[in-house]
Amino acid sequence: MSKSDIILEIKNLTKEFNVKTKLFGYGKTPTIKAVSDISFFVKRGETFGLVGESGCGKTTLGRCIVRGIDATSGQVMYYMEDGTKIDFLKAKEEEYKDLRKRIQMIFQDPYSSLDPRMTVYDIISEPLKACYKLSKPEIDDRVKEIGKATGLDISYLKRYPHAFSGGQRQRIGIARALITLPDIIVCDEPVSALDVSIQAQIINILKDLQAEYKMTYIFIAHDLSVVEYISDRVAVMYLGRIVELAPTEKMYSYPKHPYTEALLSAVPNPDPERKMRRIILQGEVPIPSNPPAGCHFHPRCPYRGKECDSVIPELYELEDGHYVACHYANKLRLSGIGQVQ
Amino acid sequence: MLKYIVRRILYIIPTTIFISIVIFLLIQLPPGDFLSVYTAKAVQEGETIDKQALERMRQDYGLDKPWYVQYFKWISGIITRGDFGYSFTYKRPVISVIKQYLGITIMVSLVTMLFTYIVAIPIGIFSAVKQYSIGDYIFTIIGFFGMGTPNFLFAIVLMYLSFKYFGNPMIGLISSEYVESAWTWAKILDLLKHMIIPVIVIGTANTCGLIRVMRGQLLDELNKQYVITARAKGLPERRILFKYPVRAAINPIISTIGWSLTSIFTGSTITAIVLNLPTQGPVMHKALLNQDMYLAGTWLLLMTVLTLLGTLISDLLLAWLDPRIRYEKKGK
Amino acid sequence: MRCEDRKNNDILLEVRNLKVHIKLDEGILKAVDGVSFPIKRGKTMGLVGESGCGKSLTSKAIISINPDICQTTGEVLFYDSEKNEIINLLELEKDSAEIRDIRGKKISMIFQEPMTAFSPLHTIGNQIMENILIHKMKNKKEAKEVAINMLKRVGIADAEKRINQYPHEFSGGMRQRAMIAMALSCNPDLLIADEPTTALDVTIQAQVLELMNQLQKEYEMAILFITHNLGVIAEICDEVAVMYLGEIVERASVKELFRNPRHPYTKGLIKSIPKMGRKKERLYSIEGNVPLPLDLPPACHFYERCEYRMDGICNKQKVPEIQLSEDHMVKCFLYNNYDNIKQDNYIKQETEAADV
Repeated sequence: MSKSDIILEIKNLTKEFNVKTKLFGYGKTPTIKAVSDISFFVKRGETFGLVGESGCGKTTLGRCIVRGIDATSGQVMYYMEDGTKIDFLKAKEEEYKDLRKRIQMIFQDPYSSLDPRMTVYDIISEPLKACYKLSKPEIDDRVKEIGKATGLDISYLKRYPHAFSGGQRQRIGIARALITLPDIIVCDEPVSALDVSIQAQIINILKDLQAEYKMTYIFIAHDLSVVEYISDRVAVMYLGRIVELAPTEKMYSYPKHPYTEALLSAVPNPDPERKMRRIILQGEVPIPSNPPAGCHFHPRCPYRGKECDSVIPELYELEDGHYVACHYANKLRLSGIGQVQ
Repeated sequence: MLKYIVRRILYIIPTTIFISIVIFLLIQLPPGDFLSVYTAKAVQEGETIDKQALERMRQDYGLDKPWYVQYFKWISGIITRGDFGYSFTYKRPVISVIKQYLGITIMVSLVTMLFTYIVAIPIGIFSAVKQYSIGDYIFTIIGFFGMGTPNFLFAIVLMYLSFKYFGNPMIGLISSEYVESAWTWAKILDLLKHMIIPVIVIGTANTCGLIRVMRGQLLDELNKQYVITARAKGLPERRILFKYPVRAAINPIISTIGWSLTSIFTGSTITAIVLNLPTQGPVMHKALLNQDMYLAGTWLLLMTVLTLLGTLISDLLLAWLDPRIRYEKKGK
Repeated sequence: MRCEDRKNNDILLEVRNLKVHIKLDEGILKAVDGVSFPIKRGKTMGLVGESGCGKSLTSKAIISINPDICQTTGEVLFYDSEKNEIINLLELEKDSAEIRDIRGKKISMIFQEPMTAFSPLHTIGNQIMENILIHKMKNKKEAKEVAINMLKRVGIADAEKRINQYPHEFSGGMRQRAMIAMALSCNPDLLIADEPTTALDVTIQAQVLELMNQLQKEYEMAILFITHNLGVIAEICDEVAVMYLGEIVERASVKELFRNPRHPYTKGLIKSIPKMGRKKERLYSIEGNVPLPLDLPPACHFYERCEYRMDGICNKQKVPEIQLSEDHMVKCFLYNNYDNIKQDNYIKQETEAADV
């Protein structure tokens, strides 16, 4: 794969949270590693899925990538069309402003992510005014174009967000992200707060827009079927680390990490005649402030061996493009979708 | 938890010192001092003053020195000798003035607070449970009148009514015939009678506010999921109400006891002047007017400590009532 | 008379023409408008629909725990095995001893938000024991023992210690287990589960569903399972009713519903969820949004969004309930006569051909 295919490369990204800041700064503060030494790349034009259960750090990772919060360490390399690369996390002023309009974000909650005191028109045009110097008619044209593309009723643009339903608000959120014509949109659970019938509308719109505007998505979600549907490649996260990363079909059909296998088997299948063998994981996700030693997944892993509780497995390329972090990845025969009956 | 309490108490010390400095600075701020005010008055009234005596006093208290020297003198006197300074207006040590008024002030405050809670909480519960009923509306209207009427006006009206129907405006806290007598049942009864108007006047505004708070809190809680859970268990409505939502709604209110103590303490000055109550309000007022710096400073210092303690008490009460907060503190 | 008929058959509870209307300033919100379905002994009935379809209000109306602004009419016939009689639960006063004796004992309920369904100020043990103390026994010590055993039964380790803890010391999955322990502590005939796994992660959801399956067999109870997730319905239910805007538009056994969905809304729902391991083609999406059920005409509520709408019929007349077979009911004009059914089969074959 040539370097020019890559648009974004995340290198050793780590985000730690201090649980409490103490008065007068005495006493030790426990740190939580929400994202721990994560590296991966995103190809131009693809949809890169990030899945995991609540608390796995996927949202934090997404926010670090768009600089919504500051990463503790690591790099987010953005590859320009001419092959030069810039670390977005260190970009300053002009550079930052330029990258800012290239990387946008869509949020989960269509209710709290829109300022209720701004009209929809102002919400959508705000990033545009911040990034470009455009005349009023130019802004007007752009807002209308994007509004149409996202399926908003143009005549309603002067209204306030409360007049819109959940699905409509999510369209507003998409329009706001799209207005600067970004190359990358980080979508943080964009459909999980929506009803099934609305969810399908939004997924379709996202796909259409991607084709039309040639964008790259980083799609964060907990719903495995949605992620499978929309993604080209998927990374599975567990307690702040990527445990497996592969092209979608490979991952879903031939998972290599026991956690991926369990996750896939746990998804309720809307087909009563195809009951699957279910792997019920014991216990719950441990709290991130005190992760288990060794492989973070080992206390719940049905296949754990002797080194699992002491040695942290590194993410390595097991097969072409299929990365996994498990000591037994090449020995286990795990089942995926379509194989288990 | 114990560690937390100890630490909170330790925090009070630097805070108090800091605030005491600010207080002293503020009192010092107006030009002149008590002695110059005193001299000016005396001259106005044509009295002669002993210039030498004045100069002696000025030196004794270091009034001619910079403010930080005065502050240091004052504060070291408090710490080493328990000497809070000399009240120029009352012509005796500050501590004796405070002793005279503190007891009665605290009593009036406590009775007022008790009145506030006893009246407000049941009415708040009623208003929430019977939201938008006639009773709720009536209490709401009364409540807004209570909050909107200035206390001193309310006091004057009550005094007038009391005078008109009982022949006694109930000024002060103790009738003149009892002032010198020992504490008998008759005297206590007299005191209680005199306390009715101040308690109602000072308490009403707080009561009305508290009714709104209680009502709002309870309305929030009544719609919570756990109330439905309790209902689905088959509990009777009344038991659900008192075991779950009321308990939850009352927590933040009980936790404000600490602060409301000081606010009732300080907030009733004008009422106390109108009603001629022998409480700290008028004393403080006089002290400030006359630049009686040590008296004013001491009162303010006392307020500060009370506020800090009140806040601590509030936090402890909340931790005691709410296991979630207790759990957070456990870590410390 | 009807009582006699029903005593021996397997219907535990029957909801008939249930309506929950809410009076608002803007008009009457017909949140639930004429819903009927039976719940069979020991079986699981699923109620599925999108937010605002009235499924949750329906379930709460069964034991009359909706807030006072909800005006509930209709019948909820419950066969009380202890007294051997059929009671219409809606005829009982809301706070009467009779209905309170049924709530939590014969019909108990678990909720979606395990976070807020327990009072944060009381221990888990206190809240579980309370259920036992009002229905089963007066002795606190024995009640505590029952509660501990129930907690153990739902898979909570260290139950003796856990029982004295507060809800915030439990994780989401644990809380839902504790909730189930509380609901089953008096061995109910019917468990109403209102979106019990919606707030949980998939692996925890799988655990809880598995637990519910086991306990259902063990306690021989019926479950009314409310969810918006068709996958969960397929996993756990025997029968399903699909709700849209306060009405049941289709009702069938699970197999039949997923194999032969008839109502355009049901079809749309099933087609609009991405299925794993299938070829990725454009998702089907139902047009428009769910309207507010305010002042709806007595016609098909799905009309505006329906692909097969017939102007003059669907938007003008009251939609009939058509019994396609013994266990399949659909509320749609398309099935008014046999030809349409054939036509529908044709449509279905077409879509299936495209599906594989």
